[in-house]
Amino acid sequence: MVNFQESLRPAQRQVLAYQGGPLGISAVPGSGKTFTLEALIVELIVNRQIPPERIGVFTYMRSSRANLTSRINAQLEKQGVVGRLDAFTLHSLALKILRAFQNNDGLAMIEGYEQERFITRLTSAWLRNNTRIWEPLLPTSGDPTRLMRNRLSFGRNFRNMCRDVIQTAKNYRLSPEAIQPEAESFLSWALPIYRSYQFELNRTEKLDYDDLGWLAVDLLEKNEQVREEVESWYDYLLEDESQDSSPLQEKLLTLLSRRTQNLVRVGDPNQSIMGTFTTAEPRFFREFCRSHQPVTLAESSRSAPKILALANALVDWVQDHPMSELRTALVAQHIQTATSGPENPSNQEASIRFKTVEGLPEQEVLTVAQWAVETMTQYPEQSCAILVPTNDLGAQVLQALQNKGVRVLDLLRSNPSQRDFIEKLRAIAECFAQPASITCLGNALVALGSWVGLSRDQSVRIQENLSNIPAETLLFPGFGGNAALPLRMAHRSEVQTMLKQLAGWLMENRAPWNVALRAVVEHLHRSTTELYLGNYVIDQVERALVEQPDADWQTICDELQAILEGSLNNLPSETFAFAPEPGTISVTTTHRAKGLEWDEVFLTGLSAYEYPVQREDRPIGLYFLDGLDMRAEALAQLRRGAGLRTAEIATEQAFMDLAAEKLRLLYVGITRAKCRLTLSVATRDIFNREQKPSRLFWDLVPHPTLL
Amino acid sequence: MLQSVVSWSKLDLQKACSEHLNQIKEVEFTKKVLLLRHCETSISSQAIEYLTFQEFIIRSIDLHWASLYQHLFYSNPEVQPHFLEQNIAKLLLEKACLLCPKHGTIFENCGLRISRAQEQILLAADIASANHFSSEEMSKRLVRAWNDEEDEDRISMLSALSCCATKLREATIHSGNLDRSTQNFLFGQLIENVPDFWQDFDAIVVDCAEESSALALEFYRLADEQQKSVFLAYLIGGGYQLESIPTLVAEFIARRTDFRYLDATGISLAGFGEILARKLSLDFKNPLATPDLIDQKPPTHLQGQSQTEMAERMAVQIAEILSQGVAIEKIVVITPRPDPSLALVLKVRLAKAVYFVEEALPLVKYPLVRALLCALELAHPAWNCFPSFAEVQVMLSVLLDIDPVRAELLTTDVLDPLSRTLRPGQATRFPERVGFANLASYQQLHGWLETYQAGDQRTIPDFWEHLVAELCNESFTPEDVLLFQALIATTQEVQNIFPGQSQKSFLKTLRSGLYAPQLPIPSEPFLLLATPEDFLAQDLQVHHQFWFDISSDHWLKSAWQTLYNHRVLTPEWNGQPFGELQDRRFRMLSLAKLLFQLSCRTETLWFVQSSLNARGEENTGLLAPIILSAIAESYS
Repeated sequence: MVNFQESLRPAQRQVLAYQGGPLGISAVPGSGKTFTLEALIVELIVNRQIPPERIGVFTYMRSSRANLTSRINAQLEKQGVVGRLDAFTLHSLALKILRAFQNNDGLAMIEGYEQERFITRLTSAWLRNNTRIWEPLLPTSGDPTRLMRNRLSFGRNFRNMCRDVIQTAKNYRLSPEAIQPEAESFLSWALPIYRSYQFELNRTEKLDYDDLGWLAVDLLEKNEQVREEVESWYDYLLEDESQDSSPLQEKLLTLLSRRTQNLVRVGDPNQSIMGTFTTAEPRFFREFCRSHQPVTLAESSRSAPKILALANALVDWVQDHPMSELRTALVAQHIQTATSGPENPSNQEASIRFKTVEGLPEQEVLTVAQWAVETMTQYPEQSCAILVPTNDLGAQVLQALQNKGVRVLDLLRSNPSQRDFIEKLRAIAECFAQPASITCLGNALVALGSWVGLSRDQSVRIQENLSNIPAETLLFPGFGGNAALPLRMAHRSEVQTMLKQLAGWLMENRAPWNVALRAVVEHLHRSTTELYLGNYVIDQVERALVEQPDADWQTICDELQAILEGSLNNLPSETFAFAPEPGTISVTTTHRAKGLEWDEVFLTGLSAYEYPVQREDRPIGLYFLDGLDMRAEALAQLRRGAGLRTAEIATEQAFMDLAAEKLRLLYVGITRAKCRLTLSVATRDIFNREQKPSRLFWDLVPHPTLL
Repeated sequence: MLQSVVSWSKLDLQKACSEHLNQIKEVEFTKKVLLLRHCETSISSQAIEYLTFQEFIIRSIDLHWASLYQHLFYSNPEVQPHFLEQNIAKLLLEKACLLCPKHGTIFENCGLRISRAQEQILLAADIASANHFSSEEMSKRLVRAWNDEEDEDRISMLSALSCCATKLREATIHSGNLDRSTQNFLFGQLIENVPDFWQDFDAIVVDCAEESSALALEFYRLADEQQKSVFLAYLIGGGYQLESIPTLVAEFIARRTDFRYLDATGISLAGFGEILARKLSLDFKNPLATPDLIDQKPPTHLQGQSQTEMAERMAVQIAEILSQGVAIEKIVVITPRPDPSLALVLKVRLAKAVYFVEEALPLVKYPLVRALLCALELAHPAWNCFPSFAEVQVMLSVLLDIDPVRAELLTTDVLDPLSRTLRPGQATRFPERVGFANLASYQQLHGWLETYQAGDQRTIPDFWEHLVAELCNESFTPEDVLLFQALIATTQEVQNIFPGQSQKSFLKTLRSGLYAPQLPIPSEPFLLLATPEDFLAQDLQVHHQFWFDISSDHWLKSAWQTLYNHRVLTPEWNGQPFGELQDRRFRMLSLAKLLFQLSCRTETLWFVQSSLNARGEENTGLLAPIILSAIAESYS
């Protein structure tokens, strides 16, 4: 028997007393939402003898799924419970349903980079073939640079619009044939792209993630027997991060919970930060809570009272937002300090700083990196995070930190350590493609350097030393001897080792390329994660080149390069569990920081552009389209076609949605900090123009400190 | 006389077959006994040599071709029979359907590449013919089974399958190039209409009788009518092949044969397997007792996050078992699909040979094949097929055994992109870089090609054989030799089937993905990595079985082949629309039988489970909790 009661707060005890039916749990940051959910699950399994497989748990992010299941299963194992809990995202649940009732082999997912490449190809073709439609919209200009910029801008916006139209249409289960756009509207431009996209997915036997949910919901709606069987899988359904539920997820949950009505939904409407670039809609959770009296977890022990006060000040500020439409961006719900259980960190240890940094955003993040290093020196047993607005800035922070020799936890989406491994494979593949090229050989040696214990700088120096030596004398010296290296060259034995290894691989190239590349992974990997990554990448390249069985090494390089430039769906950073460690500096975007906490947080990029308060802070749409946002207008038309209410002026609504989400993003950023928080902004933007801080930067604190 | 034995123990069934054979020989040594089985084995070391049923069909057709032809066409044979591998048969199907007005667009939106659609059409024809259904009947069944009457596109496509199968049949019979479906059809004609056939044997012993199709059942029945002695060995929990009808075979055995149950000998986990099978499917039946589990070690459960991590943990476990003196052949890793990434992890961690039955690779994926193609193209400029820089580089490297760096240097100088020919060796700007020995080899090749172009053209296989014999033989490894032989055989076969095909068209065919043979089994002791079906087909018994990864969805194999459901093409289909639930029921029963049989063939079981598959996707399989529940029940 497990007894949590003593350590729980009253609201948490209320949750644990759950007996069935629908229950909404609205939880402020740090209120122990996940802990409460886990406690409820363990209560159901251990104390009420519900088998783990009868409980369906849904999370939004795969990494949080991994965290949750590993913690719960550890408890179950300790309690001697047979069976293990598994949690799902919408996509994996849909996959489970489809695989249980349909052919497994027909469910290959398209990768992110493939999808991007494909949509780019389709939209580029449309732009080329329809110049008479869109070129007249661009302003005439004698300045060719400006003209080119406008064309690129239009192309980028068009591509984003098409991508989002496809995603949204699928979430509303609208096939291309079911969409009736107005003539000559943005949506009518996107429709042929959607059609061709679907056709190509069909032809290549692939699905995208939105297809999964759609197919699963369709199957359940159309086949009563399947629905009954799937309904019988779970006696209890629990959804975490409900504020991020999408139309398809909503539908699926409704179908699955129909039999028992035992549905627990946990979320925080003030942490809904995915809506502008996914199909997440916080309205579902809000409506659920309105229909069923929710339990509110309002006490938080995560942060010092000072930090909580800042978050509450933001909530209050929003209630009097200069733009009345944004006054509901945050629910008027204050975070209270804990009255029982673990205590909040003391205010004496806490601090909040507002800092302006002279220069570009790159200067800001480098300065912040230095501050973070100083923090780690002062508090080596604590954890620290730098939250950046974009992955590019994050990569710069990482570079800066790595040069300072500190321990870094890389939580960015385009995780450089993962990229580094794929880049190594690419460099070696390129050497196979052009073995006589000393440049390619040099790059391959740099890639192999860490394998023989050399630093990157040392490897680069070696590359420079060898740049004038013919490749054949290095790789295949006469009479099978060692390569003739320059006399005063450092690390001779390591270089010989690398050259011999490369030569060995080159001579093994009588095997098919996938076998040869696996042999490379076999040698290169230094961890289980890298082994997994290597196999995954090779498998992906095999799939991508299935119609080119005679692909040569250059084609393989090109595919690896495409992977590097784009994204893979299942990189370790997306799927594996992780946790911030004391003595490390985590680097992540503010979005990806959700759900995590650190002793000290540096929240960067608080510009008016990133956190707009007024319309003029952030232009939306293209100036030469009268400020219209193609994406917003097309989606609004799509939603109208689906029978949903939309704003009169979609572009204006798009600004409101963005501004509201940024307010919530700031709320998330602030509430990541346990003790100390630094908010910063650069004085110049990425184009080296003067940059205003967000009005929030001034309004939240009476006396901001200048650097 | 029809006799049979039934057991869940494969070893005991094999012993029974062997004893029956000995009994026949003791009574009359000269009796011609036909030894048949329905699965291919490559690893097991059985004392008796069996013919597979398909090999028997081929042999019989070949022997009695003249009579068969006479019966079908009322004339003497104008062609000789030639038995096609399925991937060659695909070419025939493509050609047969090319000018058909129903082809092309009807399969365009079916969710498959056209080559995969063709594979499925062939398979459908094969399964249907193995169960005595005509092409017309095939489509009728598929249409009746489709769950959605309003889905006109799907209905049209399923109807078109008949047309494709019929066109294929016409093309094959008249040309004598026989794919499997035609072989089955002809065998059906043979056993009914050619009396001489029955003189080939006096008795039949059939192993793996549970894998029999309707055609095979008919053969047993007629053999009995012809006073032949028929002995069937039926494995409980068998019947995995797509055309198998194990339930009907069981009924046949029960009603028409003099059967007996065999008590099992040997150690196994059949008891656990039975509990597991019953949890998976209520339709699972085992009339025989299974041993108690009292003294047996419960299965071990290993669990973790990623598949790679679990593969490493499994490797550690295997290493420990090996260190206790267990032979590596007594360990097997069962995976639901061939998994090269798993094989790599095991190979790296164990430093032992790992063998698994890979999915077939296209021939053209091998550099040697591309090198030979390149030489062919260079030798025949009139074909207008010119190799790329990369291919010439590969050719020089592989055929002349020049290192890839010097091969690239050489290619840069000798490949003339304008005239699209090779220049002589003197064109090399830096001969000392390329190496004079290499230049000499190259010059030899260049001279050879020039001589060839000036002389009589050879057939493609001939060209390659001369090229290799005169220029390359010493640089070939044993694997190269096997690959080369496969290439020659495939080329000859294609050219026999399509004698009028242009060379350019043939090259395109080869490049589009004709398959290479399986890699040879390693000569040193190896760890076997196998799917359940492959392992069970090998008749092996081991001490340790690892089931990897039990949370993978791929354990539950659907009967859907995307275009159709293969159970519908067997007489075991009940005539009702075959929807998702029927498929699910079939899948669960298939899995139940497979896992039961796996349990029968081991002394110890290990279950390895990971949350994520090799591509980082969540595993969503239903098997893991059922296994855990079965463990709890078995060992409580």
